[in-house]
Amino acid sequence: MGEIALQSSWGVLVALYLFLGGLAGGTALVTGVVRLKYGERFPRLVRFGAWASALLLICGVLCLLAETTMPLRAMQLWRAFTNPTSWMTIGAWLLVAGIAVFGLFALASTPAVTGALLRKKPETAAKLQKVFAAIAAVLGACVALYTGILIGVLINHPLWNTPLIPVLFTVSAFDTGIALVCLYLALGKPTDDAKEEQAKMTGLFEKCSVGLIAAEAVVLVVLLAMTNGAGTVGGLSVWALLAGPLALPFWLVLVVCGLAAPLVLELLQLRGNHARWLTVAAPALILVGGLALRFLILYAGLPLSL
Amino acid sequence: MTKNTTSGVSRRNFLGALSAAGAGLIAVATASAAPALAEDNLSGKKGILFDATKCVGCHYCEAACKKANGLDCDVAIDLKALANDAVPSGLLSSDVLFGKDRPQAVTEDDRDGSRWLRVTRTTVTDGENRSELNMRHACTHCGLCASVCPSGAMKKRADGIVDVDRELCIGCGYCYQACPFDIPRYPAEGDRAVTKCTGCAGRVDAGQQPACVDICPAGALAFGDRASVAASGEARAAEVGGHLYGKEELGGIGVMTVTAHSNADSGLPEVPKN
Repeated sequence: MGEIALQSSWGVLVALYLFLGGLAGGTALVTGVVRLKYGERFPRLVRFGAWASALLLICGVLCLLAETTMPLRAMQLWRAFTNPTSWMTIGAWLLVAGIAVFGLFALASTPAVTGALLRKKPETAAKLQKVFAAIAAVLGACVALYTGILIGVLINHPLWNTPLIPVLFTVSAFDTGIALVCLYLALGKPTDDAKEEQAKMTGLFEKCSVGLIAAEAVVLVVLLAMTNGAGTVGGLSVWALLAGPLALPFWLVLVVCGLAAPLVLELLQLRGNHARWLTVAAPALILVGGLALRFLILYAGLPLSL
Repeated sequence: MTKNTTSGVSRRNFLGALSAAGAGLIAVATASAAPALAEDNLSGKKGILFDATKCVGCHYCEAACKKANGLDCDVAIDLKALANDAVPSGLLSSDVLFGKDRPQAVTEDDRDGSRWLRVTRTTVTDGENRSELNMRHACTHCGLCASVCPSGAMKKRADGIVDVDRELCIGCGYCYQACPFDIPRYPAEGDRAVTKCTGCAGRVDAGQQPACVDICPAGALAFGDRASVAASGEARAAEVGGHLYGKEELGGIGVMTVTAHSNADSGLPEVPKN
């Protein structure tokens, strides 16, 4: 096979958005669940997760805005996002809602803010935080899902036009969200009181990570097998990833560094090895894998008009 | 506040919720991946028939398109192509038709958004046989762009024509990504609102045909109700031993093509029929 032109009309900025949107959504979901499940026992973790999800989503949306040729028009949401049959319309409003709720969750998790606004009503502050945590968790899942739906509805791209893409991106989003939280736990000083409970929670994160990495690998294999059987262009997309121009990053960065290595490292942690380098390297590699996945899927999405 | 839940129970709850979320996720994802084109594509719809077996490659249609839509592109009429048996002799010269507007050179940049319609000539080799194929490249009014366009800049009208309101375009590129025919373009550096063939919507509203159809001296273009256009296309395809593209593709598109060659040789993308 000769040279092929990769999908390039959506480039780096969209790939970054797909990663950041997923990471922000996954982080919001994990943080929200931690707040709901463990109450107020991990205030620093929750504050970190809430701020991270809000700021990461803002960065992702700025990437999208920078990708449009008319960002000033795109910012007039009520004018730019009106067609209800377009998933981008639903997505744009979802992203705005996500930023708002993640931001409120972050403010409600910041003692300086709650102290200033609700000093005399600590119970109200806690209730508010809990409500925002619940909404943020739900919106986080939706924001993660939407990154996959955005490209999943495009009939023109056989690699993308399957329900497996939203599933793949959402699974990866949850995985990277857990990884970011784990990275914070590994790098941050263990000043939170509930140390024993933190160990249990970390164990739960490790189990989830293993399950999500395994699920991601399975979905990826099925996606490639199905796309390969879906016509010439689909076959070319798969070839580009496995043996074509994207083969090196696909095998080295995604498969080895982003899936296999963190799977092994997470399993080592589950068997009781909690060496510091392990607890840092595993989530860091999961984040690398998540970023590589978005770039690879985006660039390998060849159009039918090829 | 949840307190004192044993971690075993809450873990099971958590994993249960996770798998329920997974099932819901797959359901939503499946629903979202279904194409948004399920509508009656025949009744009340207009259609254009392009008969590649009749096209002589004169580029009259490009010139008419340029003039009718005020486009800033170069078109060169191929006078030799007009000296074809299919073209009635003594037909109006291009000078009469287009006056001083008649441009000289064709730019090679087919990504130029100031050109809504292109006719290309390729040589198709089929074993020993070599034949020339003139092919029309323009919006097929399939409506995929309109279904994804968030702002309504691309809008499918009741008659099936996909019109463009450039004032609404935010330049997100979604229409381009959705288009299997590689059609939407930015017209020029500095003009970053999308553009494409509008089906001469204004002319159609005034009871006229699209300019390209109106001018075609070879009888390669026809315009009318989609159902009758499709019927005559099928009859013509049977007559020349070719096939009709666009009747069923993407649920039925606005511009149908009769070609004696395969879709691949004709540069027609293999899109789902539904």
